Amino acid sequence: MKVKNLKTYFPIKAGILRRTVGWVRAVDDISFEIKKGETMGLVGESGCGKTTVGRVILMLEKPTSGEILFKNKDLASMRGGKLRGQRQAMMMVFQDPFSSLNPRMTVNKIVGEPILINRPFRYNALGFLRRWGILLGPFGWFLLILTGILSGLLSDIFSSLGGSFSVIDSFFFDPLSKWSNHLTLWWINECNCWARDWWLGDWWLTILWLGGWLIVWWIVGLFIGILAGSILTKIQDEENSEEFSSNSSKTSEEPTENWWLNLIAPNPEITNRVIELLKKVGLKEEHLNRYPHEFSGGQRQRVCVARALALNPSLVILDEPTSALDVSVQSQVLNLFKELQADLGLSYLFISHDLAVIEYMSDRVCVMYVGKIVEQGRTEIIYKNPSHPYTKALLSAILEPNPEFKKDPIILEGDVPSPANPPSGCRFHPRCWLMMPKCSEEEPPYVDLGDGHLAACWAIEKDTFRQVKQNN
Amino acid sequence: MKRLKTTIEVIRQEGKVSKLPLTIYKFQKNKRAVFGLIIVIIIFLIAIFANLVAPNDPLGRDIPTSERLERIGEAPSLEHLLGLDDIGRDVLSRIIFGCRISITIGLVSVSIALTIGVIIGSIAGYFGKWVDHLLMRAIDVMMAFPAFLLALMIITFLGPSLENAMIAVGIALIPMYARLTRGQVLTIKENDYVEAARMVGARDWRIIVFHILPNAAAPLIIQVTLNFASAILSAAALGFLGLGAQPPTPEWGVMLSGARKYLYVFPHLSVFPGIAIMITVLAFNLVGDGLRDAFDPRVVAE
Repeated sequence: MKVKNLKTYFPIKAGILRRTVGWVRAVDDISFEIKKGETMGLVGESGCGKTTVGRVILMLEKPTSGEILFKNKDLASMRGGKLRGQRQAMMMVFQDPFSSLNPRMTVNKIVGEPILINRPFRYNALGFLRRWGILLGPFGWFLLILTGILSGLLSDIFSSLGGSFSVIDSFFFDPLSKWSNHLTLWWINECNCWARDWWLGDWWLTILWLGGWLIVWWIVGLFIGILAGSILTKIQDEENSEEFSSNSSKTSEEPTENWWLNLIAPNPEITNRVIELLKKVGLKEEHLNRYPHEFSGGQRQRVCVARALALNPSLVILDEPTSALDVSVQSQVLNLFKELQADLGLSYLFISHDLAVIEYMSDRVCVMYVGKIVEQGRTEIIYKNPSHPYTKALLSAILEPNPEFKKDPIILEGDVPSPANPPSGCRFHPRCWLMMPKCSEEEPPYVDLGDGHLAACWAIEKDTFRQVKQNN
Repeated sequence: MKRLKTTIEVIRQEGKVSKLPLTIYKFQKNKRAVFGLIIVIIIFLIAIFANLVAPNDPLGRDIPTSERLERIGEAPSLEHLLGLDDIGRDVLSRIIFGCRISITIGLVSVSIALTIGVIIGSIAGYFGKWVDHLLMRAIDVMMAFPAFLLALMIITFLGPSLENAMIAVGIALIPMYARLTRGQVLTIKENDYVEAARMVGARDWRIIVFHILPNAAAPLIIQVTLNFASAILSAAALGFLGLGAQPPTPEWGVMLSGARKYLYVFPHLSVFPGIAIMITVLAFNLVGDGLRDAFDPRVVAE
């Protein structure tokens, strides 16, 4: 996973004509790389564009320019179905577990939804019937009309024999002769009172009757469909048993929307997979049919994780996943992430403002300031030896567990500048204590400090030159 | 000022946690709403089983014409509980069959309004930008006319009949639903779970149908119950003006307009259909108000 020169600007609109008067440069020219099985931490103050980076990588927000290379394919240039297929291998855990779960869906549906949407066509319970053109709908209608004709005939025979009907009987056998004479009479072409009496003549009971039979045939058709579907699925499973394995590249073929299946037949395969996922994230099978409001914050976040893992992604973007949780739960969730990474070989992009959490979680760190990465490199190096003044200031703000330990944190003056109107040159220069005249004029380039450690600062630039000169 | 109790506190006070969902719990605590609901259910039952409940034929075909003409405008008696009308038809039977017509009017016109309004509103709210502008300006044009006037205009196009009255009332109610749905969709689509659904690969319509609309249902349900009453009322008004159902249909508005001539001679002809309209509208309004309170998190069960 690689990000190259990513820019995302949001237009500022004003006036009656909603003309664009400026741009919020939420993400401005960012490049980084996440290797397989690695955790990349993304730190920065609030409002510096961390979350936007995560959303843009998933293409939930369209980037203004730049490339998002995932397995050497550029997501930024994709649209529609192609994007949907590629995006499956990347998932996100949102910041707020209270708003990221649909309150009207059970956990089973929430976690099962990605599987349901993206599973291959042949695994639908009714997929076979649909594929061969035997749609349940027309099938049901056909049977319904057949029932109408048959019961009309039946009722005529019955009444000619002198039998009488109860209300229930007449509902099922006789929509026609006693309560209303439309269909049979119309059918036998004796439409004498239908036109005259339609408002008295129970036309809406006829509709009720039609609806009743439709439901009956629907259910009958459903059972036929499920039977046929499950037999076929079984046969196919035996033929190629590993095909519905959890390999995401397999499931990404032929994605279909089959919402009506979701309504009528909860698919046991999906449910089994959901149970497996719930166990993986430390929930139990009994949580399956509960609604999100029945869970605590930590449990909700676990459900979010389960949903993110449903399609076996290779990259999970964690957007401040612990900041809405209280401290005791935070550590549990963090450990869960670590375990999952070890189990499934996931890569993470861990977005957070909590430096201690980032240090615990990540292998490499990017430090962002007003839409730009000011420093990136391996966690140990950056935490031990920060080069950029902003990183130094951030790290000096970490609290120490030892109350005896006294340190004087670097206190930055002023606020984070607005990304709509960033300072010229180096964006940190108005708050920097190392400011030089050059800083406000030109943007500093990245200086390679070795081992992938990059920093953008004129002061370092000068230092390194000096070092290089001294070495020479 | 008395501090309002939170729901949790109320439940604690009751000493037990109710098994019922909170909305139903609050609804069944509201006596007026439950009363309204019972009446609504009775009205529905009467409508469904009108031909079993009604003692006579609403068109008076079961009484010989000569007998009917002798007993024109007979006052309520044990034989005919609400009396006979100006051509000797049983008023009670007519009201009972009118119930069926009124319920149908309510169902049909509200479902027309709901379907079209929800579709327009959710498309406008979800896709935003020029789609929103286009649809909402169209809705604004409709909103510029009072609903009843709009219904009258549509009737003039379609011609007076019961079906056209239903359609007209339904169309006149569309703007309300479109606006309501749009507002709901605008707030709900900002939620993370909508974003999550998009991330997971759901298409737009799936997001609208499964993620947004179920969460927008509460105000729509309230609006449906309240509009059910107003649709019945407007259809009755159209019938009264001769633009809705036509005689001899036993529609309440038509009955009222027919009875207007006999107001001094046979007052029961206008009183009973009026009472029927009043009870129906009141019952639906009570249920609607009860639902609104039940869905409102700020209002706590007494």
